[in-house]
Amino acid sequence: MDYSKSIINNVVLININLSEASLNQSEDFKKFLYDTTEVTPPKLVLDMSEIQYMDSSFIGALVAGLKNVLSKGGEMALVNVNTDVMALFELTRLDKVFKIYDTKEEAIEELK
Amino acid sequence: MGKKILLVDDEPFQLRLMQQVLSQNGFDVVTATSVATAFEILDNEIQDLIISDIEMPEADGFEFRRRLLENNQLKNIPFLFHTAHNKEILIDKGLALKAIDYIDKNTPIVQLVAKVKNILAAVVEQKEKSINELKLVADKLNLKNVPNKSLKLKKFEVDVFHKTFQNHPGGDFIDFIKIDDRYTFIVLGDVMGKKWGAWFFSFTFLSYIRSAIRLCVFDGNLSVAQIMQRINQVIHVDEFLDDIYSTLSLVLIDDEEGLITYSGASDLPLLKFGNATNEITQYKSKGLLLGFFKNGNFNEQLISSESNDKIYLLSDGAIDFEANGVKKTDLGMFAKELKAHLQQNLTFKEITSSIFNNKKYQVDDCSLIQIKRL
Repeated sequence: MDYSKSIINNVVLININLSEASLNQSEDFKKFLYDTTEVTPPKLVLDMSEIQYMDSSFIGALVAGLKNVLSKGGEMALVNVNTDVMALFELTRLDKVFKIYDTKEEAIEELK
Repeated sequence: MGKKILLVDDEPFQLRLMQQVLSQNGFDVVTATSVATAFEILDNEIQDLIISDIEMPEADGFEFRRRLLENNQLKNIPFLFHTAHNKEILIDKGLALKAIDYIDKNTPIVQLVAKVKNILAAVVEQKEKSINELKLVADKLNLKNVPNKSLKLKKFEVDVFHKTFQNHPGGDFIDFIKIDDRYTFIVLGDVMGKKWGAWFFSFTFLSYIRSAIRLCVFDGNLSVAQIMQRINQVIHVDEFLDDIYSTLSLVLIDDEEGLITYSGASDLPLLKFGNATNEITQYKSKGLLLGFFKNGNFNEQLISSESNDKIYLLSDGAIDFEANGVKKTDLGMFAKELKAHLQQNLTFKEITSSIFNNKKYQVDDCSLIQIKRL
């Protein structure tokens, strides 16, 4: 399975088990995020440690997922973002759009 | 790279034999001894053709085919049954599950390879035919999201390089909006996504951008940051674009004063090559993704230029590439390469054909706009 989830302290921790996150997975992933309704309002922490490369389709799915979460009064955070992906986020100000933390524990603590 | 074929068979000997023969004929072959493993492979990489045995323990070939048909991403991969049975009832059952064909395991190797080649060639031909028909319709409707000519002004010359990804139109869109003899806007946007889906939405974004620019100009407003915010406002409230996002670089050329102002929304920095300094400077904007927030935090920067200075706007496809099987996004590397080419006094065409050559595997559609001060 490309994505798995667990609930810790009323926060859904999502592991993305993809090294390349691109167009092929973006629609499925968006649906997965939309369908993550275990906690209300939604509080999602996405562990990105496996992702080495992300294309704009997948970033689009992440942004759509975030907007959906925010519209329900929830929160979404990213953790373990790879250096290359982080550089792209900083370059395009997406680091101002997403909440980004260094560790899962830190993100869960902030969101719980 | 050869076409990718997935072979599914519970007999390892049969699998190895087929893999060897097809690999020798230039195909990129992966194998699975069960339906479960086949799905794991398909989860990681979409294949060009699937050849599956029928009789297998646990899930058989028919079950495999049925599950593929239920999956939107996998249902259109051409599928062949490969079996020792030639009972008509089995063949009928397989073909009813929309399998392209059926190959008898006793078929001589030469015929098997020829059949696989024919099927893949027919699929490619059909796909190209469909794309060409769509392109023809788009051309007839005058639906263009990239201008096909360069723009010559008194003090500036604007050239465009645009390359589609795998010959599919994509989400990059470019426009020159000439207001009068003095002012011209240059637009470069990139709808997040690829191919037809992104291409389709690029026209909606372009329509909003054109209208917002015109309406602001009618009101005497030539601030690119304020125009960006107007564009952002309408996109923010449009439900049709609810989960579709685009970046945007917006440049206003004042051809009388020789000035350029720039504002951006989650776009890549503008690059300026100074003719006197021989150096590249980055101009980063502060604006956020179009339509995500009610207020996109847009700023504007004045970029001065001297004769022969060159300013570049680029989409992310220009800095995305694959080397040694690893995909990367690297602005620094692109800027370095661009600088090296510019220092050799090459033309825009020479630069783009050298940087975006076919040897470097491209992973997205890519665009580069050069604004040269004359």
